Amino acid sequence: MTVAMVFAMLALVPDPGDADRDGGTGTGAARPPSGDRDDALVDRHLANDPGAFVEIYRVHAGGVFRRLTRLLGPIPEREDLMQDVFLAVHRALPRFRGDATLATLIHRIAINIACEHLRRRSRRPADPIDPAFFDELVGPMLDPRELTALRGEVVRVFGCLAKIKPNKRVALILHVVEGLSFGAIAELAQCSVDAAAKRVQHAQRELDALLARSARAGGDR
Amino acid sequence: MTRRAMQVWLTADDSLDAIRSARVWARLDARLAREGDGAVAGVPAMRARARRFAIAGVAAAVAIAAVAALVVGSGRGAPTADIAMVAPPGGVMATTLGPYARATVVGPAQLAIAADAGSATTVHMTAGAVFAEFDGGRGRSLRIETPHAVVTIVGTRFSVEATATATCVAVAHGRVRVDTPTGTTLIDGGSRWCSDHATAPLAPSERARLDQFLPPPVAASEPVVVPLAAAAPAPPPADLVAPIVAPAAVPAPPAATAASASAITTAPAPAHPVTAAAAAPPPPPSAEQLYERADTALAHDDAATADRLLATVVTTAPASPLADQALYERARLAFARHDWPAALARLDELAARTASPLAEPALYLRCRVALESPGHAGDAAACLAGYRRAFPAGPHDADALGHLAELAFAAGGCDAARALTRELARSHATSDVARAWLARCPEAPP
Repeated sequence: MTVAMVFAMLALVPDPGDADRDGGTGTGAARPPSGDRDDALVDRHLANDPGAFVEIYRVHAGGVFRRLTRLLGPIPEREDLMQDVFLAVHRALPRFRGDATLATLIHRIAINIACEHLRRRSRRPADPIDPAFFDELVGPMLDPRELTALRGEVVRVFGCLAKIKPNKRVALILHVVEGLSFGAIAELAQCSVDAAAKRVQHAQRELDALLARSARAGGDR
Repeated sequence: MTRRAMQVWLTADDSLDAIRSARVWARLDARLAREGDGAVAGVPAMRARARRFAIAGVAAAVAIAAVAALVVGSGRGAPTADIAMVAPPGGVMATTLGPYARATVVGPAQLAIAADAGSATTVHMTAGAVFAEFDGGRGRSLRIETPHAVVTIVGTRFSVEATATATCVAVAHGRVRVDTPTGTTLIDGGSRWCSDHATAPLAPSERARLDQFLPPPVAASEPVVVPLAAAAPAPPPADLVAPIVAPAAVPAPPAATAASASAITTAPAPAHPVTAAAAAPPPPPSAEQLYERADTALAHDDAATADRLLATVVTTAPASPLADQALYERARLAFARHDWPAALARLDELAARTASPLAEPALYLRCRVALESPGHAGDAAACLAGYRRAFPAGPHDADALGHLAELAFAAGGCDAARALTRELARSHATSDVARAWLARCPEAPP
């Protein structure tokens, strides 16, 4: 087969996976990856098809990992937490009635597990962010001046974020970093839209206050 | 600035690569199996049962080790000439066989070690398995006598297993001489001999057992622990107890603990020969252990060993998700050494597995093999197109488009590649590949 023939065949098929581009989790529950496919997978799983849960994992693992990273940062515990998420999904599936999409169920569980992790972490002092690790991870994306400025800011912001209650912190991150609407946050956090909005607003106020205090403390020194 | 800081840090390293995904799945699968729900997770319930037995074995080994520690402690100061050992079923002991050999004894085992004279050591083994490394040299000898054969080791890494019905010798490196009532046999490295079978090449599972239990190679400067060197040449006492020093780095098998590897049970030296119960084979290394060893080998740039261990993972645990990972790694290793047929063979094996979490990177690797193989540009283009159809949102989509653009460019320059570079700019605007192509084939101003 010649190269020309192959390119004639290509025709650049439209991307059917656009909805799934990030594992069906780009905006959480608001945009399920493929409801029909997930429904079929759940049905197969409940019918004891051994390949179905592997497929559920394959489809959603990337999205869960991304979600955990965005809620918790690039911490080493993410892989363990991912296991916890899918273990909980496995336990929950027999009771899954299809009220929400499978993606929503999985991301609700991921958020609960992230909150639980933050609660456990809040009982001990926050680990400072290692500057070398930060540079290694973020360095290639930024120019040196921005890198230096952001390094200090990240340490300061995440030091303050660690003092905010997990459910408020998670709501704030879903809103600020992931750009989710209050409605989408409410669906994932299983609360009312008002409650989601209040959590975001309170978290933002607390963060601002903590940052201001931290800036004053830095200035005093 | 605050928002930017959050976005930068919380989106760094947020993509799950195939290896990480498979690693998480392997652990998750094991946890699902432990929950006794293996059937759903694609793991036979048998594995859960096997784990329960392993746990029971570990508990038993710990208890035995505790008793042994008491016995050894109470026996200190006793004269030592010979050493008698009894390893319980599943027990694993690290020991030395005379001054120049380090060994792992796998129970059920019963043996006695005698220092004949100078550097000669004789082991009387009625049952069990010994995996040893003997540092041979002038005047040094190690002889293992079983009910069926006398095995003379010149200098090698080997194992001897004796049961009630047969004795088997496996040799990893070097050469071993076996004398039986019917004649003498020389066994070279990579071979296995049994008193009831002819010599044959080592099977992968046997090689895996050797890898699991053989003590790590001794550095030239590292002294070998010599428990018998100071032993008086006196007759063995009735209730003989001798200290055994464990090498620090003996690999512990799944059913053994550090305690069981460093402590031993001791018992009166058995009269020779002793009729013993048939020795149960020790548990094979788990896929996880083999995979970890392959990782270690890779970390030391020992690709050949890593490849062999990964092959063992596939052979011994074909149902494990780690087998997918092992196949993929083997394909990558073959790719790295430009062994295209081997890489394709591994990828074919991986493709034959259903619902593999590594299907996506495996297909992309197949395309890379086609790209690298001379005269296969058409195959490469077809493969890359197939990859994009199968995994339209795949993590290698931008790279695949880049390769396609490269192939088109080679066939007809920027004009031929235009559709692809536009697709790149549309779908992966921020990627390095897109930027590079837009610099190479800039769009004409309107």
